[in-house]
Amino acid sequence: MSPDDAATTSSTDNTDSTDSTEKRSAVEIGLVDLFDGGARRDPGFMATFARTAEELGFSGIWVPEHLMFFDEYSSAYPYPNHPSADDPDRLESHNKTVGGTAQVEAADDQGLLDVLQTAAELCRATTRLRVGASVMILPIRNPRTLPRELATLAELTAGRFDLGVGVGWASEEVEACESVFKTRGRRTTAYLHDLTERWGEGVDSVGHPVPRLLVAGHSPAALRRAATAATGWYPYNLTISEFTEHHATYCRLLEEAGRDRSEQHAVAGVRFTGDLTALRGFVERYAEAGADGVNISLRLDDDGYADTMAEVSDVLNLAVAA
Amino acid sequence: MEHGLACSFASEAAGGLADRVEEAAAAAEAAGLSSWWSLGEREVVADRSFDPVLGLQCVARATSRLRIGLSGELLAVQPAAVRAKQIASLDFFGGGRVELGLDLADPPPELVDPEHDDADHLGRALERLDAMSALWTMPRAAHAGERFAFHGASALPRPVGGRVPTVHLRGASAEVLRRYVSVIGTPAGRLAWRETPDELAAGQALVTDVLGAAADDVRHTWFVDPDALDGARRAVAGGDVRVDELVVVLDHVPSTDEVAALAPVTA
Repeated sequence: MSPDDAATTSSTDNTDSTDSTEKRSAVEIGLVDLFDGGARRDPGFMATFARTAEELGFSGIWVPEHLMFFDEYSSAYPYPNHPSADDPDRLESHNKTVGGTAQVEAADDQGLLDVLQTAAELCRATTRLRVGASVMILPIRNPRTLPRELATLAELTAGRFDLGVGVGWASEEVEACESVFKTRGRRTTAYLHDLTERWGEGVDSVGHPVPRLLVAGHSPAALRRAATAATGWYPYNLTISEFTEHHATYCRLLEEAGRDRSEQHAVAGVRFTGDLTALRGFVERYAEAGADGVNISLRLDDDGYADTMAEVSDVLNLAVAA
Repeated sequence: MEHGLACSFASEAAGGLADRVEEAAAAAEAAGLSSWWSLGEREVVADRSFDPVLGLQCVARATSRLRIGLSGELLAVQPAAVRAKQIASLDFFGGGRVELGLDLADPPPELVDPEHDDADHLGRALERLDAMSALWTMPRAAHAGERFAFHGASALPRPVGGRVPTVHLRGASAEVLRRYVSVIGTPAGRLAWRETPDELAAGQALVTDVLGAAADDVRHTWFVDPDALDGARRAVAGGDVRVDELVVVLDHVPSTDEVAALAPVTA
């Protein structure tokens, strides 16, 4: 795909959708980005970044979690391919591989601030914007202290934090965090049940409900976990066909569990590297496939992020109802 | 002698916790206090208050000079990499002002991770501190302990300056202190948590007994309840005890008026 091709396609999309350009998409649009604890992205930058996103109509900012990075992994990064901008049913890959093993997309000496403190800081600078974990590695946490941390965050953010959770894909990281890699799925399911059933224990919280709990991944185990132990599903880098297929499974599992799909939240997370004008059709495809939200990872740069956010907001008409 | 404040991040009303903490912290800094401490983990459990790290983040946000301390960190309850990240992040928001008060006694059962219910809590805590120090100071950190290991790990951000934050031990017994020294080294400080003057003097004698001449470099911080403040000041003034910092412990987030009322007494 050339940039010219993308521009032509998206231009056609916009002109064919005159009516819908006048109203805001019903799909929640989140930005996946990271705050590394470096000098450029200091607390002042974080506040301005969050306010800009809020003012431009984005629903949320979602921040990833890693406790550490390694130069090379023997564990394969599970999401090296992402849907193409001009055809989200086709996959592209930009991640490097080492010895045939896909590696995570991260800068050299990549930093990441604690996800809960990042959420507190971003919410402190805003009034409406939601902040989510994209995603917390749940099985390495102490289930006895995490509820207190989440209750505190709910208090500090007025309930604007969403907890995306994953089992952790890197055995190097999970084991360095003193956890058994093989049993991480079992622990994740148990901790999700605990969070819901024991919410409010141990802290005199004041009325915020348990955060929205979204399970990452699309394996059979992840789908079952999402349908039975969480309140949402958060797959990453699925094509439209894959999303549609797994969403159908998710809905079936919800029904088997006696749960109502309308009370759950399905968010499609995607790495997007194409022409931004293609986003409109791109997002609409996921919405049509059943997504309640689309979280877009653009890897915004320090200097030009506001312009990029504004362009995305314009393409998706986010500011209309903001 | 410096003066500080420690408080519970207890809930008093719905909403506004960040506002209350930030206002009080700014007032404390303006009043000339030197430090703001959270309560220890075991006090947080007892009074069902909010998380100390997230509470201290509010203090960091509203201040630029106050030292920011965790007064009773239980390393036995959190994985080293998780806690290292949380403390380094707090230090980022605080611009390098974080200090650690370690509580190395056995943790309350309700905080112990069932996956890591180690009979030797002290051993696990010391191993975790060793691993955290590696993550905080080494570009590619390595740790090989009895319980876990890693190598080639990059855990950024590290605390400001790539340092290990100043470590104080809270009321450690002779056995605990000796084991700490053998594994980690000499602690920078001792926290006397709600001790009487006699208990404080005995604790300082214990430090001297274990550390010898190195005890002279140990900083002594005395935490007292408001009703014990006058007596503590008299004990310090009378030369009965050597104290580098006197910290008033409050069971709630103080109002700016309360901070102002403390200031003439403590600053």
